[in-house]
Amino acid sequence: MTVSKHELAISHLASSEPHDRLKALRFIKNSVIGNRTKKDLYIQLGAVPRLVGFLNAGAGDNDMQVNVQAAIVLGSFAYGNEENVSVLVEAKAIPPLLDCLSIHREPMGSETSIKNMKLLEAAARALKAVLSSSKAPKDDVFMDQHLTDLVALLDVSSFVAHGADETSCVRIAELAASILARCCDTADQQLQIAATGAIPLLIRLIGCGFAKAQEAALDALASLGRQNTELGKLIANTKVNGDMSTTAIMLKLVRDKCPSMRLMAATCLTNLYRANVLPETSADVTLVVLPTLVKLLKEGGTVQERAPLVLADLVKESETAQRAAFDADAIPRLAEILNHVNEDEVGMLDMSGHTDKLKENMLVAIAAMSLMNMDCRTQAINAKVLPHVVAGLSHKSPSVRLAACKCARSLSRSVKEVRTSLVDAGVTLPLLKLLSDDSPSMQAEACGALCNIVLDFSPMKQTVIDNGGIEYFVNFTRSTDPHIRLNSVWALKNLLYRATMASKIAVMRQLTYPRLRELLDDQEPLVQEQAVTMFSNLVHSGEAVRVLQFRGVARKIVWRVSFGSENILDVEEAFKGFGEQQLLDMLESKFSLVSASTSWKTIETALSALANILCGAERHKQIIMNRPKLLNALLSFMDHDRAVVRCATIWCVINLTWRDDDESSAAVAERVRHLREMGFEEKLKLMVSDPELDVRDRVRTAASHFHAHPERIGPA
Amino acid sequence: MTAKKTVSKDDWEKKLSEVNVNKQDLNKLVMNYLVIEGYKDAVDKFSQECRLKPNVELASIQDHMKIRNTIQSGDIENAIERINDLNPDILDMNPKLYFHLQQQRLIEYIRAGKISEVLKFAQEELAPQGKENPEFLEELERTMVLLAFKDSSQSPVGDLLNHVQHQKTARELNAAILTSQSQEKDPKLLSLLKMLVYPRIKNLTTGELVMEGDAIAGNGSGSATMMTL
Repeated sequence: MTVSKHELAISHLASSEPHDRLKALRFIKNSVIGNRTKKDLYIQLGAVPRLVGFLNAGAGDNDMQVNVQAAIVLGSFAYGNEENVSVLVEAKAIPPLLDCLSIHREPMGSETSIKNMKLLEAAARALKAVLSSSKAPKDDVFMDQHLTDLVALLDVSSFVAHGADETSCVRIAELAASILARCCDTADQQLQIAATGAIPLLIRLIGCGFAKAQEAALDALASLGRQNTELGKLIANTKVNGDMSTTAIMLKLVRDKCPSMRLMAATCLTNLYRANVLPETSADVTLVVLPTLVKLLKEGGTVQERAPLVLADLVKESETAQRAAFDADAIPRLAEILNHVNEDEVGMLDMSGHTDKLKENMLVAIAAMSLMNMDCRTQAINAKVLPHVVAGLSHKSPSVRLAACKCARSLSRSVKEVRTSLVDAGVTLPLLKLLSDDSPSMQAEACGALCNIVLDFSPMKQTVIDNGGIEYFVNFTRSTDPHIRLNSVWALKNLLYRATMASKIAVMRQLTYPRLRELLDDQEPLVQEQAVTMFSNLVHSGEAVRVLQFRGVARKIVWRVSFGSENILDVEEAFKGFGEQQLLDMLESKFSLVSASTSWKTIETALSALANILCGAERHKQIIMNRPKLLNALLSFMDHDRAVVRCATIWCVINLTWRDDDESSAAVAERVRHLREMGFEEKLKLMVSDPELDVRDRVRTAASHFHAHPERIGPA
Repeated sequence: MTAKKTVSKDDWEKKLSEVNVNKQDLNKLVMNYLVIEGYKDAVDKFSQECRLKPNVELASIQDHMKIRNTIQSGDIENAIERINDLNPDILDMNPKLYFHLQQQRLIEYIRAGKISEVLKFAQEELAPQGKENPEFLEELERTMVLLAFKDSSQSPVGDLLNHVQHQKTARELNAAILTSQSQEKDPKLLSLLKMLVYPRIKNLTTGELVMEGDAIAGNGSGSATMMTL
């Protein structure tokens, strides 16, 4: 059997002749670099453990060259697929590579030190390649002296002062910065790196004039400052390069001729902006950083891939930034790329997953931008994004599906679009399908997207109901995942908004009142809040409207003016379902300020529920009147800090003192008398000068009710 | 878009005389040219004269030139070894370049008439690459067509054997090496010249301009746009 030259090379690795070992190593190296098939071949032939063995054997002058070549080959393996990285990790390749970094501590300026530099560079390069993969654990970097060694490599001037060549030092610093950039997965890691003194050195690097090192340093600073306000502030406030502030340097680099430099600088600035360390210079962000990012979408490769994610980060939770994105025509650009990506796909197989990543990231960016800005949503729909969203919802890649879900959610916040475009695009059925996806976060997102689709005016509401939507939502209310629970309760709440009696009965038959009771005491305050609003919608009908679309947007409360008999049925049904005493107990518990988990929002919603109940029949009002705890709560809430709470309280008082058509004047008078006795009228008089206009208006109405039944002096 | 402004000759001369060109900037321009074009000895002497450090090691300029020469001579295998010695990342990060170098090797085998080597090489090296990167398949197929014709001048893919293909790959390699050394592909001097020629300078040595009567059409800014060095 002829031995292939590759197997021969492997066997020579074990030769006793150092010359043969080196020759074999070089042969392997030159076969493997650039060639995926050869990488796989040599891994199968068992090269990795042998190479790691060389590194572990370490020292001795002869072996230096061998170690250098071994490190290079290991690094080259990492450029293959992710499985290769797993092999490297399992063979424990990372620690000896990290150990190589400590040789900088050897004295400089000698023959050895030059060889040392070569090994340093080879090891650093290999580490950068390995640690770029998500399959590589970063823990080893943070053990022993490794972090200190890495950070020390950033100090170019110190090396140069000891006689080393500047360009090689800068190259090594560049690699060290890149490695650090990849080790910032957790806040803890970020803080450890910062504690080792990396930040001033990195900042000095970004002004060093060597483009690649500057880029790598920006990358590291961006990773350190990501979602870390403390470090963001530190980065912005550290001055190292003469008079120029760090932010000023970054603003200069964001205009650099090289696209990847611009992207790195823009990422840094975005993180600083999110950390609120750029107040005075925020205009720079919307006028410089954002347009730069939008233009970077035209570039190719990884720049085009990453730019939308940075954009999404920039506009997240900021209406100003989202508006600026609209002005910068970001969405048409993103839509354009989505269109192109789909065209290309027909011809080519996407080996590296690049097309999928592009799609995912574009969708994420569009989702972020249209979250709070209506114009962006309209723009997105006009740019024909919806077909991509719908296609994305059934894409084979879970991350694309998730991104499409987020998009659907953002776009469904526009009433107009919900009624027209979303229906036409057919988002409902794919979304429903995602409710049974394996991933909990996918289920939560799909649920969140459906929340807006099940609102009263939506033509898709019936589709959801017909396809078993209620059952899904009800099941999700039992989930241990708080996001899923929240979104499902939200969806049910929206389903019940302005629902017909028949629908309400249908929903409650599946949910059951005991379950609702449990949700009203859920450990998550946000879930509680939604549950109370659901209850409020339950006891509501007619003109009274409570629209809570998404996370606090579009809160419209129109309180009912007329009373109809339908409402009585709703209230009756609720009392029947809960049990009269239980319902009142529940309300009382919500009003109890002793409970720390009850937020003012929940109180306000509970008050609105109470006001709805008081729109019912006389006997409902009477039931409430017979509950001194409830009445006392109302009295105390008239002094609440929050205007909306005070307002809601007065509404209850108004409704309590309102004379219904079928009521006797005497009944109302009796209620007024009781309330007056408790001190309500006095309080109202004090509230005439409340700072809020809404409150003052309500107070006037309530006071008029009291005046309609003046105090009797003497017996009736 | 800037509208065309007309500037009188006197204004132009005045603006020209007001421009201050820094000597050190000029030196940097020259250094930049010498480094990118690979004149290692000139770089060495010039840096001593002007006390200006080149931003790349002399040794790597030399390595770069060696690689260039090796490619020119057609010894691709040797060139690949040297590239990997210079910077092992280059070929791993540039699959297209790697493919083209391998393709060039195949072409050299075909040119030398070593048919059995050709087949072995194509099977072992190029076919797997074609499998990994379908976008290279077309080019691979074209190259294999070379085998079908004994007389390459009759072959529809005969252009692959000529200088143009070779130069294309050489240029691609050159650019990759320069990028890895943080250099640009072209010397700044080249771009500056291009910009100067646009408003029709008659004589590059004297700076004499093409006149349209007394007025010159231009964008009105007399100062040379100095790029950051």
